[in-house]
Amino acid sequence: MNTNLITSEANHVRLKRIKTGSRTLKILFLLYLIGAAWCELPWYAFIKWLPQGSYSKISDTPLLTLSEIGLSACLLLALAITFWQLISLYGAGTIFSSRNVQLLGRFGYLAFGFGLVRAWMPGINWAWREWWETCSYSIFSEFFLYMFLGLVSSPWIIGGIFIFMISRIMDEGRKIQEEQELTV
Amino acid sequence: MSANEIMLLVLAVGSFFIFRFYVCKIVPRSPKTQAARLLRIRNASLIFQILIAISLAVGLYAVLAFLCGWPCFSDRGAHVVVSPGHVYTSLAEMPENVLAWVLVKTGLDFAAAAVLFLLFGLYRRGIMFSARNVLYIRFQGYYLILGFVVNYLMQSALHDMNLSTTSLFAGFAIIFIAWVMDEGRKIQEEQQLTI
Repeated sequence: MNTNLITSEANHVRLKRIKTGSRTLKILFLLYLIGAAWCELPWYAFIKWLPQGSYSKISDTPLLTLSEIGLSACLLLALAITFWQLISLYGAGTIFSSRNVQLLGRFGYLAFGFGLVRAWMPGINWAWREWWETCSYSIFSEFFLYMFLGLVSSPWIIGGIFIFMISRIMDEGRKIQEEQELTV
Repeated sequence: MSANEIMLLVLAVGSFFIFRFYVCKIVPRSPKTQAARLLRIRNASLIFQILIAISLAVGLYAVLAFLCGWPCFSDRGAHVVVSPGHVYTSLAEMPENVLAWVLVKTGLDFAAAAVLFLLFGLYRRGIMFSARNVLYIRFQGYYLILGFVVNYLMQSALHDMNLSTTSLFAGFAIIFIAWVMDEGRKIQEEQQLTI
């Protein structure tokens, strides 16, 4: 049997497996968004995270907190869309293109942004409330402490930085490969 | 470390990055040749390896400070946060079963950091898309899933559930992406061998 035929058959089987896997992951992702993520929606989760306790109703929540929650919800939506696009590309058989690494990089810095908002929101809310109520400038040193601790302890921030870095390295590697293929 | 010292550290790090950004703007960009690309990858990977090594060293000291009662970075000393309602400041306060799970979780964290260190080591050597790269990336996915399981068991022991399923889904997603990359690599290799 022709080895080229065997190879192309094997590649066809691999691509088919990738397509099936992508479709399955898309369905699982949708179920996750609808089911488990509903319990962790930012507006509910952030209300739990506030240092002075939670608010019983949305109408009690300050405007600053609501805008931060809105921002984090938008970032989450962008993350979900980017992930969906990446899985769709894999399903179409595109694995190492520039679009793949671009989406991976976008996922990285969206995750970083989400982690930043999520880590700093309690500190910002606390500092704003303390400054508004007490007009005390001594809270700023503790505010920076909150910011720094949030920055180094958030898995979203650290994961986002690493994903972005890996996407940049993969992009450079992909360009090297392309240049090598074009070189006579 | 007091709040003022931490603030100074943040300002110092911020100034360093601003200075580097300013210098990069003045110095003309290097040409986009293969050698320049490899050099950029090498430098970036080295920086990340250094950061991972520093965090491993600091993390190891923090764990030993908690276990042996050594002085730590904060004024309150080393403490372990298992969940928002369970913060332990000394070894004597922690139940034995919780201590066992904390040690398992810490071991997993160190293993994941070490594998990430090795991954950036491969990138530094110019190896971008090999089977070993895929193995290391897949390990991160298994780490997230195992970390979720250990957290669940730890918080079950305390009867205090405060879990997020995001890490579980992220672990599965990373394993899937690593698998796709591996399949893509095999397809490329077979195409290169085809006459």
